[in-house]
Amino acid sequence: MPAPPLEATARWYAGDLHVHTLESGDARPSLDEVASFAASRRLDFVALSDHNTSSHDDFIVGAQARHPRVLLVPSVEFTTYQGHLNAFGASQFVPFWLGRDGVTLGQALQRFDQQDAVATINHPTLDLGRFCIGCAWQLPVVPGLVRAIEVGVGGWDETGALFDESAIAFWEALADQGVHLTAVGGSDDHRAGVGLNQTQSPMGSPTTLLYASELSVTALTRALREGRAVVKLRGPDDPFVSLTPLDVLPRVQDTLVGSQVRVLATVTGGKGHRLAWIENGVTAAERAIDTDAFTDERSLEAPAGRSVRLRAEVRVEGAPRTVTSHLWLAPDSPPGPPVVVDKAAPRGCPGCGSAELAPLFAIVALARRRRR
Amino acid sequence: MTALLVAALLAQSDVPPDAAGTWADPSRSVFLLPGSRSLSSGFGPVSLDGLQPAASAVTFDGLTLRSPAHGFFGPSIVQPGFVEGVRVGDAAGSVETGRTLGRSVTLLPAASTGDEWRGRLRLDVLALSASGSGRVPGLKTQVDVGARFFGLPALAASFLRVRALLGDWHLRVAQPLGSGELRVLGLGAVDDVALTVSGIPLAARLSTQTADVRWRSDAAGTIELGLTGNLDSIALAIRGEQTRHDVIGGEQAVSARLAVRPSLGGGVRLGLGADGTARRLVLDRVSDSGLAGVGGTPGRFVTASSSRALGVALAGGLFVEARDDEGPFRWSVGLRGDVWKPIGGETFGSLEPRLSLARDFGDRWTVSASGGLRHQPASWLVPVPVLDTASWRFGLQQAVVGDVQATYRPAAEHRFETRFFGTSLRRSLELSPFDDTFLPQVNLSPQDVERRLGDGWAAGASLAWAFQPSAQAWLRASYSFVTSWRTITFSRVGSDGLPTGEARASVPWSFDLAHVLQASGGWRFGAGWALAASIALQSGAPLAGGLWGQEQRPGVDSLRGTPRWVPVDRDLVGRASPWLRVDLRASKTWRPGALEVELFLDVQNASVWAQPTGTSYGTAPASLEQQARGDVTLTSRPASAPLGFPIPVLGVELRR
Repeated sequence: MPAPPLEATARWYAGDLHVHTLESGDARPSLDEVASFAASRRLDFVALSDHNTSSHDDFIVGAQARHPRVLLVPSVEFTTYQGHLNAFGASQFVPFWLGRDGVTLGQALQRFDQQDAVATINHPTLDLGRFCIGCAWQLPVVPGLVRAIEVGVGGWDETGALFDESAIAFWEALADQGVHLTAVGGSDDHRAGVGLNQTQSPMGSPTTLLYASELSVTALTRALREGRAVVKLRGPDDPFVSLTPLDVLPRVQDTLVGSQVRVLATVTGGKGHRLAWIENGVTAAERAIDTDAFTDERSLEAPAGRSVRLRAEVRVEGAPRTVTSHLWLAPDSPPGPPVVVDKAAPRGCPGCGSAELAPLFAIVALARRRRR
Repeated sequence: MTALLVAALLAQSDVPPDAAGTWADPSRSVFLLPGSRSLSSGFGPVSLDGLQPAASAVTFDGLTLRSPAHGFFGPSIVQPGFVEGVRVGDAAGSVETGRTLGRSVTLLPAASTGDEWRGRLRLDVLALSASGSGRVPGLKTQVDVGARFFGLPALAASFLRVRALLGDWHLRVAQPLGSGELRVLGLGAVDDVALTVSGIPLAARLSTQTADVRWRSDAAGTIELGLTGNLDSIALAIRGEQTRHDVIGGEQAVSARLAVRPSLGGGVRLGLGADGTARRLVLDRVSDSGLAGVGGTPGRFVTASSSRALGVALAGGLFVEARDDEGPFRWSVGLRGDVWKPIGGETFGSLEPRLSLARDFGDRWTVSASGGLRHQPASWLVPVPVLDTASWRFGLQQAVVGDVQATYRPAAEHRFETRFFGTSLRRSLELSPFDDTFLPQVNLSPQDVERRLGDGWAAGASLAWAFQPSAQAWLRASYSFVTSWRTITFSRVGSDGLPTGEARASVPWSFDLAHVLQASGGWRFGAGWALAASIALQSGAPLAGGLWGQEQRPGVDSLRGTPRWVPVDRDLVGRASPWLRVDLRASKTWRPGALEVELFLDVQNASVWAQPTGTSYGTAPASLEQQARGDVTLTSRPASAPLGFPIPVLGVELRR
C-alpha cells in the first residue's frame, strides 16, 4: 500500500534526483544525514540512487518518519561500464551486468518500467576516461523506456559549467530523432555536503523542480513522464521559469495535441538576465528580463504530420542557468516525426560583463579527484 | 677583469654562465640569488621575499612578459643566447614599474654584436635552438632572430603516446631613427601538451605572442614611446573515448606608454610617464559527443559550441619621479597612480609613493634602503594570462615594502652583502590552482572575496659573499632566512575530520623559507675545461596545505568508528624535513678559428635527493571483515617532489 503523500498541494516541488547514501559503498552519509542536508537546502524530495542496490529501502520508512518534510524517493543508479542511469522510484533489484548471463539493457529497462520507475540517463557527456568508468552514455537510447536525461551534470560551479551545455546538446540531438526526454539535474552528492572537494556538488546543485499534484513518489513519477520539469543548474537560488499553454489542448504526457498553441513563460528571480526561447533545438528569440516577475508569450505551430518542440532558458551572462523541459506540439496523436532545424553554432552575449572562467579550470580541477 | 666581475651588485646575478644547475641559461641564475626560492626543487618560477612568483614582474628589454615561462613552470620563453644575466630590483623599485607587489626581475639583454654577424646553434637534451645577431650592412639595422624547439619532450612523449610540443621564437630589430632608436621586439611561445592525469585524458595548449614597438631617444633627457600588442590564449580539453570538450580562453591586449626623463641639472633627473592598456577576453567552448543511433539509425557526433566575448578590461597609470644616480649619495623619490576598470566590476585605483636611497662610504661601503607602497590585483601563484585579467574584479592587494642593504668590499676579490627586508601585506588575495577550493574561487561573489581576503607579513635577511681570486676561479656563498605568514580564515577540524567552526589566525605560508645555505663555485682549467658545483641546503616548507601537503593527525571516523587521518589545523602545522641539492657541471670549449664549440654536461640534483613535500597518509590494506570490525591501521610515509632523480642536461653549442 503506497505511503500517504507528505503534502497534498499541487505545486512545484524542488528536489535532487541523484544522491548517494552509505549503501553505495563509495559514499558516506546515512539517510538521516541526507534528509537533514536536503532540508537545509530547502529541498522537498531527494532520490536515493545508490549504485546497483536498493538496500536503502530497509531504512526509508524509519528515516521518513524522522524527517517528514523531505520525501525520500527509492531509486537506483543502474551503473554499467557503458553508462549510468537512474531508475526514479525503483525499489527492486535489477541485474546490471550487461552482456553476461543474457542480461540486456532492454530487459533491465523493462523491469524498471514494470516497477513504474522512470529511467534517466545520467551525466551523458561526462567522458573522463579511466577516471570515471562508464560515466558517459554509450548505450543505445530506447524510446519509451528511457524517459529523462540529466542536463545538469553536477552543480554549475563545480562541473556543470563544463558539461551542461554538451548534455543539453545531447538531449536536443535525441529530441531531433523523436526521443522525448524530460530534462532533469542531479548533484551526484556522495557526502551529504560534507567535506566536498572542488569537483563535487552538494545536494541541490543542480535543483530539479517537478510540478506534481502532491508530494509523493507516484505524483513525482507522473510529473517526470509528463515533462513537467525545470532544472536550476546552479542551485536553489537560481531564477525560475515555467511554461504555461494559454490554449486549452489535449495533452498526452509531454505533448499537446494541436497545430498551434500560445505559450506563456513566467520568470521569477531573473531580473537583469535574459529569457531565451529554444524552438526545435535552435534559439528563436531572446528577451531581456527587466521585471520580477517577468512574462513573455510565444506561439508555436506544428506542420501537418510533424511534431515540434519548445522550451525556455534563463541565461546568465550568456550561459544557460535555468532550463525547462520540452513542450511538444503535434497535430496528431501519436505525433509524427519531429521538425529538425539546421543548427548554427550558438553565439553568446556580447559584453556580458563578468568573466566566466570556471569551465576552463574545471578540467584542471577534475584531475584532482572525482567519484561517481 | 676580476674587479669588473665582482663589481656588480649581488642583487644582479653576476653568476657566471657556466654555473652548475643553470643549464647554461642565465635566466636560471636567479635561483642562486640569496633569498630566492624555486617553486619545486630547482624548477619553476622564482619566489622572492616570501611572496608568490606572480608578485614579481619579469621584464626583458623593457617589455613585461605576460607568461614568462613555458607551461607556467618551465624554462624561460626567452632563449639563453639573448640573455646576459638577471637583475632583481630592490623592494620599492622604480615608480616606472608597478601593478605587482614584489621585486621585479629583469632579464638583461645580451650585448649587441656590433657590425659582426654572430650565430649560435645549440643542441641539448632538452631543446634545439638557433639564433643569429648582426647588423645589416649599410642600414645600421641591428637584427636578432632566434627559434627554439624542445625536442626531448616531443621525442619522449611520442614513446609514451602522449604529446609535448614546446617552442618559442624571438625577433628584435633596432634601427636608428631621428635622434633615437626605433626598436621592434617580437616574442612568442607555444606549448601543446596532451597526457593523462589521474586517468583523465587531458590536453592543454598555451600560447603567448607579443609585439612591442618602441622609440627611444637619449638626446636632451630620455623620451620613450611604446606600443605593445599581446595575443594570449590558454586552452584545456578533455579527450574522452567518445566525447571531447574544449575550453579556450583568449586575451587580446593593446598597451601604450610614454615616458620623458629630462635632466634638471646637478645630476638630478625627472621622470614623467603614463601608460594604458586595454584587454579583451573571449571564452570559446566546443564539445563533440558520440551518440548511438536510435531505432536503427547510424550513430553520430553531437556538437555544441559557444563563443562569448566577456568584455574589455582597462588599466592606466601615471608616474612622476625625481632621481639622482650620480655621486656618492644616490636617491630617487616618486609617486605612481594606477586605475583599473575590470570586466563587470567597479573602477578602483591606487597610489604608490616610493623612496630609494644609497650612500657610498669611501670605496668599501655602500648602504642602501628603499621603501614604499605597492599594489597588485588578485594573483594566481604564477602569471596566468586571461585569468589574471579576469581576476581584476576581485580587487587589489596592498603591501608596504622596505629593505636595507649594506655592501662591503674589503678587497678587489671579495664582496660581502647583507640585506634585511620586510613586507607588510595589508590586503592579500593570493589564490592558487593547488588549493582545494580552487574551482569556486574562479567566480567569487563579493562575500566570497571578503572571506578569502587575508593579511600578513614576510620578512627576512641574507648574508652573501662573492669571491673571485682570479679569472679562473669564482665562488658565491650565502645564507638567507625568509619567514612568510598570512592571517586567513579557515576551518578547524575535529577528531572526526568534520569542521567544528571557522577561525582566523596566522598560518605559515607556502613561500616561507626558513633557512637556506647556498654555495656555488667554479674553476676554469686550461685547454678550455671548466668545472662547477652548486650546493643548496634548505629547511622544509610549512605543511599548511596549498602548494605543499597538509599535516594530518590520527582521528576517528564518526560513522564507522575506525581510525582515520584528519587535518591538523593550518595554524598548528609543522614543517617538511630539510633537504640538500647538489648540482654539478663540466664543460669543454674548443676554438677552431672564429668558431667556439662548447660541450657541457650540467647535472641537476646530482645528490639524488628529492625535495620533501610532506607526508603521504593512508591506511593499510584490510579485508572486508577487518573493515567491518574497525580493524584499520593508519600508515604514513614521507612524500617528496617527483623530480628526485638527477637531471642531466647534455648539450653542445656552436657560437660564432
